[in-house]
This record gives sequence, C-alpha cells and structure tokens, in this order.
Amino acid sequence: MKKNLFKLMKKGDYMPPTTESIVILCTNKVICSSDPTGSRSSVTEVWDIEDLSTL
Amino acid sequence: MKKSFVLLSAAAALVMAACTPEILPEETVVPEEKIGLLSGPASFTASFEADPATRAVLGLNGDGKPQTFWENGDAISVYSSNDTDLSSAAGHKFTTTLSANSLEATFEWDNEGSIPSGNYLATYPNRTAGRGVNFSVSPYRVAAVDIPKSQTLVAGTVDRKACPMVAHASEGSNNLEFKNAAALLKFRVSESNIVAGRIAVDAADAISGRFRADVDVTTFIPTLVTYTGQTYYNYIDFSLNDNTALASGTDYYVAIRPTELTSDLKVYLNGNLVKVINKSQFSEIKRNKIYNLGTLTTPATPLEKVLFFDFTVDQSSVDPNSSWPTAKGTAATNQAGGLLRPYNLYGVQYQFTLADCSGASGQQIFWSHTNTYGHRIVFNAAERYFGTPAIEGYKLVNITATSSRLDNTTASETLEPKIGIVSNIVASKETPTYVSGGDLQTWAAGNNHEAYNYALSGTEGNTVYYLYAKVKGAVQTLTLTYIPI
Repeated sequence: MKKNLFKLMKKGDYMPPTTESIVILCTNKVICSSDPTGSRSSVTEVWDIEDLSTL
Repeated sequence: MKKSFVLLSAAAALVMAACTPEILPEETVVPEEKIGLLSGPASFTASFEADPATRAVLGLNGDGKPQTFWENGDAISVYSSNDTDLSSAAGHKFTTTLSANSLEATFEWDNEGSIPSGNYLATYPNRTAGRGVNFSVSPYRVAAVDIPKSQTLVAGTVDRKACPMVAHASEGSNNLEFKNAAALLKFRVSESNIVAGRIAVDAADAISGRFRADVDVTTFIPTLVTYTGQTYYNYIDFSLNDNTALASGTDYYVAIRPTELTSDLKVYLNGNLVKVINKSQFSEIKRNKIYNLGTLTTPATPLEKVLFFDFTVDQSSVDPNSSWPTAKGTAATNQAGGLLRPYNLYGVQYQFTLADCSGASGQQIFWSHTNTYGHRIVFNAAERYFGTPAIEGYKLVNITATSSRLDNTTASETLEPKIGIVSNIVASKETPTYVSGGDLQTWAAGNNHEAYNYALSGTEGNTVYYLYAKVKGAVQTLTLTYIPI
C-alpha cells in the first residue's frame, strides 16, 4: 500500500497524513539534513533501577 | 497543512521501512539527497516487538527495561537557538497523534510554516507560559522545570506531568532524544486504607519545586539546579486524583529531584512514618533512576506522625455535620475549656479546640466560610486560642502554620498578627505559658500564605497545645508533628 502511494504521488498531490508527514519532514530545510546527527533509536530514555526495599 | 518537525516516529518508522530508495519515484517531492533519511535502520521496527496497546505510559521496552512511552496528544515545547525571544518564550508547541502508546513519536508544530533553524532544546511537558532558555552559556539553561510538591498517583505508572524530560538536537538533526530530568520512587502499599502520603527529608534539601535544567553541551544530560526567585520544598505529597484508597499490590511512582541528601529520606502514609532510609546508606538521588522502596506497611507504633490539616476546604469535607462555627458570636461560647470540633483525616477523627480567653464577651474564633478570600480559621479578636488535637501515646513536637488574611473586606491589611504556642487558657490581659519553642512570632500582615514554624520541646503526651493570638490573625493550614512519648 505504501509503495503504491509513493509511486502514484506527484508534487502537489493529496497525501494521507502519515505519508504527508514524511514528505514534509524531508522537504523542510529547517529540519531535514542529508546527514542528520544524533540517535534515532529512541526518543525517551531507559530508566535504571535500584532497589532500596531492604534499607 | 501543518509543517512537521522533528522526531522520528513509530508510525513514520513503519512507513520508512517500506520506503526503500528503489521504490521512490522521481515524481515525489522527496529530494534525492534525503533518501538516506528514509532508509531507516531495522531498529526502527524493533520498538514494536511488544504490543504497544497493552503498555502503560511507563512501560517495559523490548528489552524488558522500564521506559517512558509517548501518549496520543502529548505536547512538547521546542526552542531554537535563533528564536528572538528566548528569555521569555513559551517555546514552539508540537503535538503528537498516536493510535497507541509508543516509544517513538512524530510531533507536528501547531502552527503553519517552520520554526527558525539552529540548535534545538525541547521540554516535556509542554510549557504554556514564557520561560527562559539560554543557548549562550555552557551548560545550556532551561528555566522553570517543575517537580511538583503535590503529585497525583497513577496506578502502575507515573504522573508524567510530574516527570520532566529535556532534549537537545543539533542544527540539521531531526531527532530529539529526551532525557529524564527526574528520578522516581516506586512503592506498593500493603494496607487498604491508605489515601495519601508524603516523601520528606528533614534538612532543607530541595526535592520539589521549580528548578532550572542545566543541559551539558556534550552529553545533553540535564541537571536540575535551584535558582533565584523560586520556592523549594523538602517534601512531596501524593494521593490519587479522587482521594480514594491506593490499591494494595499495585506499583505507584513519585517523581523527585535528583540531589544529594543531607538527612534521612522518610516516607509517610496517612501521616504515619512508615520507612526511613538512612543517609549513611543512601545519600544521593540520581537522575534517571527508579528507586524501588518495596512494599510499605504501617508499623504498630509509627515513630512519627505528620498530620496536615487544611482549613481552606469546606468544613463539610472533614466534618459531616459541619458543626464548626463560621462567624463571630455575640456570646462567649468558647470559654470553659473551649469548643471541641472534629476533623476527619485518613479515617481518624481528630478534635480541635476553639477557645476565647476567660472573661471574653463574644465568640471570636471560627472557621470562616466567606469565599472572597478563601476558607480559614480566623482569630477575630486578640487573646483567642486554637487547640491542636491531643493524641494518645504521642506528644506534639512541631507546628507549621500558614497564614491567611484576617477579614473579608479590607483590600490591604496592615495589622501584623502575633501568634505563639501555649499550654493553658487564661483570662484577658493575663499571660499564658508559652511552650519552649513556641514563643510569640510576628506574622506578616495580609493574605500572604507564609509558613511559620514552631519547633517545640518539653511537651507532654496526650495533651492539647494552643495557637494563641496575642494580636488577631488567621490560619490557612496546620502541619502537626507528633512522636511517641
């Protein structure tokens, strides 16, 4: 389905919201970069756990 | 059409995984040099290994480790280093739309166009009022990051609004990796009647309040520091949003500021001290840590009771019969030992005493119900007494009172109340016996809600001690500390 959407799309065509976000993301010079830095693997942090129950 | 920012989304990741370069026709508006961005690594889809719809907001990631999940409608504030009003900006609000909680999310700007390019700092939760952000110093500074002193418990997770996160993105990056600014305390209760609790330290360590996040310019790790003009607290109160009892066997979390501790960490349930973590064993709360306190149980004889009585509420919420006087009376009905009135707290009925001095001509102490300036206990004339509850087996050792305005009509009050702690009621013009540590203090005039503390010594068990108004005034709340005799 996604493949078809991309194949059919032309500049100015209506795009569903999800696809639209991707396209705009990558046409926005403010935001996009061909060499983006920073991790993409996570947007929140993994918590560490420490047990104080026996103190 | 809203412009889109920044975060690689779970939903987007799915699309990206499908959008390999060979399927992107030239007709799309995606420039070729951006194709690499669409070739997301396989790890994008790894975040979907578990069923996100079944996850709590604070849930377990695919590695079985706790991690914060985004919720539908979450909003963040984004600041660019090229914003022109960084000293007072609320930031650019971005919001996410999700069908299920997710570790990753796309946030879209609420406005049209794009925000200025530059380095970015972002905060969760979103900020609605102007707050300073400074990119020109090292570390970067983000003002007004809150750890609330009153938090609402949520079964199995944390009140995320109490758990701030800060992120940084370099110019050209579209990724915001949020880092937790707080630590969490995790606990369960074993009893079925626990409706409220408090985390506290004796010393002046600031564990809640409004902090500044200093963001390391290399690691982008935020450190919450105190700064001028803010109020800080050495306690955090918690309860469910409907003040019902906590469920036993359920995990609850309280957010706390990471800091070194200079005194023991104490946990209270229903006002009773249930756990003390000695400073010699635990002296630093660290960022991004979940500290498991275990299952908390009230001991048979708690080593301390800290009872918070709030007189800003309607008395019907603590006295089903609403039996407290609400206005002055023409007859001195509060003499001869005073008028006993109940206050139900945590399922226990405590008795307060309202007393006029001997020889007074009228009742001049009452629980005012005029809404203009809030409910409060009013010493409407000098030489009135407000007796604290006597508790069997315990003695009163500390009183913290917050002030309120005296009357309902004067816009600006100038009269400064004088309040002390005494052990007996005497006739007008005579001097009652001040308890050690309970000497008269002069309170500021007017509706200032300031706290005044009396650290008492030499008190006895099961005994009433009185707030005594040498000069008339008003009280908003009382925090009373008792220890076993």
